[in-house]
Amino acid sequence: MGVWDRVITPLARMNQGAIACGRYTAMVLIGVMTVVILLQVLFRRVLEAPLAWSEEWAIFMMVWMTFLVAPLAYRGGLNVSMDTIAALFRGRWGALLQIVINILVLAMVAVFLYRSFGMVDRGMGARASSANVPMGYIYLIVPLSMVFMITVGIERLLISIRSLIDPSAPAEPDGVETGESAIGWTPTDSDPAGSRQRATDASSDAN
Amino acid sequence: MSLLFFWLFLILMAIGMPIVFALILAPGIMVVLDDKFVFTTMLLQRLYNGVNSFPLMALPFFILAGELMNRGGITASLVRLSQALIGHFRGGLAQVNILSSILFAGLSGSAVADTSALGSMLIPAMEKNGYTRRFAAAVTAASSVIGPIIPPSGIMILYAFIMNVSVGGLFAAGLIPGLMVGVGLMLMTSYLSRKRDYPVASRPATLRERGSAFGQGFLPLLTPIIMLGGILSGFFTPTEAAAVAVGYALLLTLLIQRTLKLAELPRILTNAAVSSGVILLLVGAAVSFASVVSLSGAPRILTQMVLSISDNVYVLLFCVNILLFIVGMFLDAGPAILILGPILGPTMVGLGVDPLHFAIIMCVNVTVGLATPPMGLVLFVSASISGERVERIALEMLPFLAIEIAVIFLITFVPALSLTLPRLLGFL
Repeated sequence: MGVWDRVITPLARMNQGAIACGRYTAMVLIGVMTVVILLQVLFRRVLEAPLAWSEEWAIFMMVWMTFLVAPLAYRGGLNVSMDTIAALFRGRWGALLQIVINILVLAMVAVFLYRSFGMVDRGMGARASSANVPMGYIYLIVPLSMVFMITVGIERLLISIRSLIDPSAPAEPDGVETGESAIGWTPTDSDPAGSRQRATDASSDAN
Repeated sequence: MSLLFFWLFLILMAIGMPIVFALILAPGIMVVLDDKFVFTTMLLQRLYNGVNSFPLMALPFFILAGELMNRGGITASLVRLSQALIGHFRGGLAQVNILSSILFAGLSGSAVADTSALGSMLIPAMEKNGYTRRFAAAVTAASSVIGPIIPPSGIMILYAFIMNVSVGGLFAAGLIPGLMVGVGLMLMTSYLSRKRDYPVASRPATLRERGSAFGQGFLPLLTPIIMLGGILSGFFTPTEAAAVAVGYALLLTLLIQRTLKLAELPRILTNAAVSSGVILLLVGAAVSFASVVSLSGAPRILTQMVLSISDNVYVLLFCVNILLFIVGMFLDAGPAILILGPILGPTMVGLGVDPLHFAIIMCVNVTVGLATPPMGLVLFVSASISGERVERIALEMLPFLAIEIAVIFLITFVPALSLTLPRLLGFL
C-alpha cells in the first residue's frame, strides 16, 4: 500500500505537529486560567479591590483551550461515542461505517469553517465588555480549530478508505498516544479490550 | 420544525459517531433539508456560546484538582485513615474501600478517578487478604458511584449549567443521597462478609495509630470543607472554589507533603486540559442541540405524550427513572445529562416536581448507570485494573446495585431526603 502511505504519512506528520502545538498551548492556558482566578479571589476577598478583567480573560482562555483540544480529541478518538451497535460491524463493514461518519463530520466542519469567517468578521466590530480587545480576535480560534479538524478529518477518511480496501491495514491514525499518555473520556474504538485498556488510563473526567 | 433531528441523532449515535458530532450534525442535516442553511450560523454561535461560560469553568478546575490529588498520593492517606478507623471489622478491607470512596468523593467529582485511584491500591490488597478478585473489583466499582453524588461533582456542574439550577443548591442536595448510598453499601458488605466469612484486615488500631492516620488525612480532608463551606456560605462562587481547590492541592502536594515533583506538573496540566476540552466541546454541542430541542417544541410534545400515560407525578417519576436507568446502561453520565436534561427537565418541572429534586434524581440515576453493563465506564476501569472480566464483576455487583436502585427510588419518593439540606441553607 505504498501509494496510501505516501499520502497519509505526510498528512499524519503535519497533524501530529499541529496537535502537539495545540496541546502545549492548552496546557499553558489551563495553568494561567487557574492563576488568574486565584488572583481574582485574592483581590476581591482579601484585598477588597476586585479585578475587572479576570473573569473575561479566563473565559477566553477556556474557549481557546477547548477549541485547541478539539482536533487532538478527534484524531485520537477521545470523544465519547456509543459503540454497542457499531461494534457489530467488523472488517470492511466497519470501515464503510467509518467512511460515512468521517464524510459527515468533514461536511459539518467545512460548513463551520465557512460560517466562522462571518463570525470573526462581525466580531471585529464588537469589543469585549471589559477586556479592550475586538471579539473578532478571540473568535479567530474557531476557524483555526476548524482548519485542523479538516486536516485530521481527511487523514481519518483516507485511513478508513484504506481499511475498506485492505482490512489488515491499521484502522487508527499513526502515532495516536495510547497507553500511559492516552487521555480523555471514553475511547471510540470498537474493540472492547482496547477500550478497557484505554479507559483505565483516562485519569480523570467529569463522571 | 419536525422531530426529524431527534431520529437523525439516534441513528448517528447508533452507528458509532462521536456524540459531540452527532449532536451538531443531526440538527445540521435537518436545517439543510429544510432549506434553512442560514441556521448553521446559529448552530456554530450556540456551540461557541455553550463553552463561553464562567460557571462552567468549575469543571476544568475540579478535573485539575482531582488529578493533582490523585497523582500526589492523597489517596493513600485517605485509605490509611479508613483502615485505622474500620479495618478491624469483618470484611474490613471491603469496608475500607467504601469509606475511602466516601472520603475521596469530597475531594473529586469523578467516579472514574475514584475507581482508578482506589482500585489500583485496594484490589490487589483485598486479593492478598483472601477476597475473590471479582468481589474486590465489584466493591470498588459499586462504591465509586458515590464520587459524583457527594459534592463536588462534575455531572452536577453540567446539569446546573445546562438547566440553570444553582450549583450550590445541587451540591447541598447531593450530600445526603451520597451518604445513603455509602451506608447502604456498607450494610450490604457487612451482611455478605458474615455470610461468606470474609477476613478481618487487621487488629483494631491503637488510639495512637488512629491519631497519626488522622493527622495525615486531616489536611486533604480540609479540601471539601473549604470548598463546600465557601460555596454554601456564598464566600466564593463554585468556579472560584474550584480554583481554590487547585491552589490548595498544589500547596499540599508540592510544598507540604512533598509527594508531587514539579516535573510532573506539565503532564498533569496537559491531562486536565485535554479531558476538560473534550467535555467542554461536548457541552457546547449539547447547547447547540438543546436550542433546536426547544425550538422544535419537543418538550411540549413530550409532555402531552407523558400525560397520556398517567397524570400521577409519582407514576411518571417511576417511569422516568426506568427510562434513565436504561439510557444509563448505554450512555455515559455526562452526555446523558446534557442530552436528556433539557428534554425531561422542563416536562417534569412543569408537572410540579421541584427542579432541584428532579436534578438529584437524574444525576444519581445516570451516575449509577456508570457501573451498569454493557456500557459502564467504571466497570471497564475496574475490569482492567483487576484483570477480571466485565460480566463477572457485573454479576458480583448485583447486591450492591440493588442497594443503589433502592436509594434512587427512596430519593425519588421522599423529596425531603435531598431537599432538606438546600432548604436549610437557603437555596430553596
